[in-house]
Amino acid sequence: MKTLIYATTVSCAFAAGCGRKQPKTPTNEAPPEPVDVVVEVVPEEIPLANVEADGPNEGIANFRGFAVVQDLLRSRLVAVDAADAFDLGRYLDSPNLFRIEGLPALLGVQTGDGVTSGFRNGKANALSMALWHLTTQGVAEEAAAMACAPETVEAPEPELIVIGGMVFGERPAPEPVVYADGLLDELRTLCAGDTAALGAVWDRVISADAPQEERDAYLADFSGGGVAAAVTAAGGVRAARSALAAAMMNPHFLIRK
Amino acid sequence: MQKLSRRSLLKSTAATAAAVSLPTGGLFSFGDTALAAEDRPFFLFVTIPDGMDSSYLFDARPLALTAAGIKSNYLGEEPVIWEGRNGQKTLATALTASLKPFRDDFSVLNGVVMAASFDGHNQNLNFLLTGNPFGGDSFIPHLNKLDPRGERRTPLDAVQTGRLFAEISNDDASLPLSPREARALVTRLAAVDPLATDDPVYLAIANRFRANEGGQGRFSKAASLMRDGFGSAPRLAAMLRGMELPPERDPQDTSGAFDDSLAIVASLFKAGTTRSAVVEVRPDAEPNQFALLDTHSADAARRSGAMIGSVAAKVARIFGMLKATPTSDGRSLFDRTVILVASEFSRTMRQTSFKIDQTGTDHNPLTNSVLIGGAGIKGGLVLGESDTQTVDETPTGAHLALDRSHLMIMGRPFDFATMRPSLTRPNEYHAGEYLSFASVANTIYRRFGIEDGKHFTLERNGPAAPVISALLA
Repeated sequence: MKTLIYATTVSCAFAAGCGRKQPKTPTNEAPPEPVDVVVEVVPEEIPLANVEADGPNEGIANFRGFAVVQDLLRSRLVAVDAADAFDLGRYLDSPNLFRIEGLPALLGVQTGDGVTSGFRNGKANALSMALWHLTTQGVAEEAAAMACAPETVEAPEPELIVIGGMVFGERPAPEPVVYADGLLDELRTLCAGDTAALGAVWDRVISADAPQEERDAYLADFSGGGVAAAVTAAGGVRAARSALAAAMMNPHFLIRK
Repeated sequence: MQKLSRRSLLKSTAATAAAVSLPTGGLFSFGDTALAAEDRPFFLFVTIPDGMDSSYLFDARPLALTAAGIKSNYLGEEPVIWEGRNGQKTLATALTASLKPFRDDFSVLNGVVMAASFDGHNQNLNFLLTGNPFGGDSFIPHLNKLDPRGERRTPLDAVQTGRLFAEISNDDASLPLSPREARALVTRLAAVDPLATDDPVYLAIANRFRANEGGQGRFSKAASLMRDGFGSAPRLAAMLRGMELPPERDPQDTSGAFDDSLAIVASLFKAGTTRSAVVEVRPDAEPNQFALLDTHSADAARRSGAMIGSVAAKVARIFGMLKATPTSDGRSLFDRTVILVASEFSRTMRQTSFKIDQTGTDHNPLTNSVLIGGAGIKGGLVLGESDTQTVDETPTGAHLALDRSHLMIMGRPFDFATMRPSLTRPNEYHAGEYLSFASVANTIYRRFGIEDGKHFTLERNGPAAPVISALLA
C-alpha cells in the first residue's frame, strides 16, 4: 500500500513536471519559444527485481520468537517460585525437551550451527498467525479458568517424549502452572464483568513494550462502546480469556523491535 | 530533453498494474474449485532417510562382482534386466516386484550424483533440497509460488509426516503433520475460540495490526504481514479442522502410521490445503531390531534385502493410493501429482579390511537412484547409468579423483542432448558432465513453471543444471 502511494505520488510528480518547461525570466525580456519535451527512458543497470523495494525478507522485523515469548510470559504471568513449570510448547502439544522443534519452531526460532545458524520463521503468514492464536488462547484459557472456574481445570497428563518427530516414550505429568496472584485477581475482576482491571492486564503482559496510544486503543476496544466491549461486559471466563489473549496478540508484544 | 529513469518509469507502471490486480480477499485462493481450474499439480516427495543402497532396487549388480570381492550383495540373487520404453536398460532385483504394476507410471534415474565433495547425511539432504550442501531455500516451497514474491496458491507450502533434518530457510509455511500431530492440532483448534472474521475479539486484535502497519519501518511492515496472515488464518484453521483424520492409535504403535500419513496427505491435497507433501518411508523393523538403512555394520547390511523390500512395498502403496483416489475433476490424485522418490545418497560397495560377505556399507554420494513420475512426467523410462557394471571395468580418472580406493559406484557422464550416458572417460570431475540431483530439481521446477532464475546451479555463479527434457511430457 505504501509503495502504491509512493509510486502514485512519484507518477503525479512526474506528470506535473512533464510538458513544457519554462524557465523563469525577468519581466523585461520576451519569454523563450515553447520547447517540445521528449521523454527518453534511460536504461539503468538495475535488475528488474529491485523495482519493488520490499523483498520477502528485506527490512521486515521478525517475531521475537517462541523462546523469547515463552520467557516473557513466564516472567510476567507466572508465579515466581513456579516459573519452571511453564512450558509454552504444551499449548501446541510440543513440550520443549532439548530444543524447539515441531509447531513451536514455526513461530520464530534460532537454529543451526556455524555458517548455517540463523533465525528462522520470523515473518508472519497464515500458518504462524493461526498457531499464535492457538498458543495465546491456550495460555489465556488456562489462566482465566484457574482464576474464575478452577473446578473446570483438569490436571496435567503424562506427556509423550518426542524427539525429531519420533515418539520415544512417556514422561510423568508436569506440575500444573501456577499463575501470579496478581494476574488471577485481575482476571477475576474481568470475569465479574468489571473492566477496571483491563489496564492492569495490559500492563502485566505488555509492560513498557508498547506506546501509550496502543494501551489506550486496547482499553477503548474492550470497554465503553469498543468493538469487543460486549464480550468484556458479559463477564465470565470468556471475558478474561479474550482480554488476556488480545494483549498477547498485540504486534508490540510479538514482534522484535 | 527531459529524461525519466527506467526504474522510476517501471515503478509507476508497476504500481498502476498492482492497483488493478490487488487481491480483494486473502493472499491466496484455494479450495477444490480453484485448484481444478489451474494446471499446477501437487508435489509428493517420498523421502527414504539414511541413505538407501540403490543396488538393491533399480541399480543392481551381477553376482560376479560379489564373487570377485568387489561389491557386497546379501540378496544372493542374480538381478534381471529392467528395460525402459526409451530402450535404455538397467538391472533390477526381485525387490522391485511390488513396483512392477506401476512400471509405466514412473521413470528410473540412475547414476544421479549428489554432493560429490561431502558424504554426510545432512549435507547431501541439504544438497537434494536446496542445491547447496550447507542448506538454504528448499525447492519445495517454491512450487507453491507464482513468482519469487508471488502469492501462495495454497495456504500451506507443504506438510511433512516425518522430519527432514536439513537446513531449510524457507519452510515457514511447511507444517509438520504426522498422524499424532494432526490429531493434536485438530483437537486444539476445536477447543479454542474459532478464528472468525466477524468475532469482536478477532476484530479487536486485527484492528491493532491495521493500526500499526501504516508506518515506514520494519515494525510496520511486520504488522502488515501479521494483518495479512491473520486475515487468512481463519480459512486455514477451518481447513485444518476439517482434515479427515484416521482412527486414533497408540502413539507408539507405528504399524498403521504409514497408511494414516497417506490418508492425511490425500485429504489435504483434495481440500487444496497444501501444495506439497513430504512423506517419510522407513523400513519395517523386525522384532527386537531397529531398522536403519544406514548400514555401516555388517549385521545391518545383511538385513538390507528385507528392509529395502519393505520400503519398495510402501512406495508401491503410495502409487496405488494416488491412483485409487479420485479428484472432483474426474481424474485421480496420481494424475494431479508429481511424485519423487529419493534417498540422500546410495552406499559404498564394501568397506576396506572386511571380507565381502562380512562387510557393511558406508555413504556414497557419487551415485543415487531416483524414481519420478506423475502429472506431466513421462513414466516407464530409464535414464542415466552408474559405472562398475562388470568385474573388468576400470574406473575413470574422474572417479578415482573422488574415490581413490574404488569403494564406490559412481554415476557415468551424461549427455543431456541425447539423454543417454556418455561414452567418455574423463580424467577430471566436472559436475556439468554428470546427471546431478540439481537437474532433477530443475526438471521439477520446469514442470511447475518456475522461472529459470530460481533453478539450481552446479557451482557458485555458474549456469543452471540442465533440465532432463526427456522426462517432460
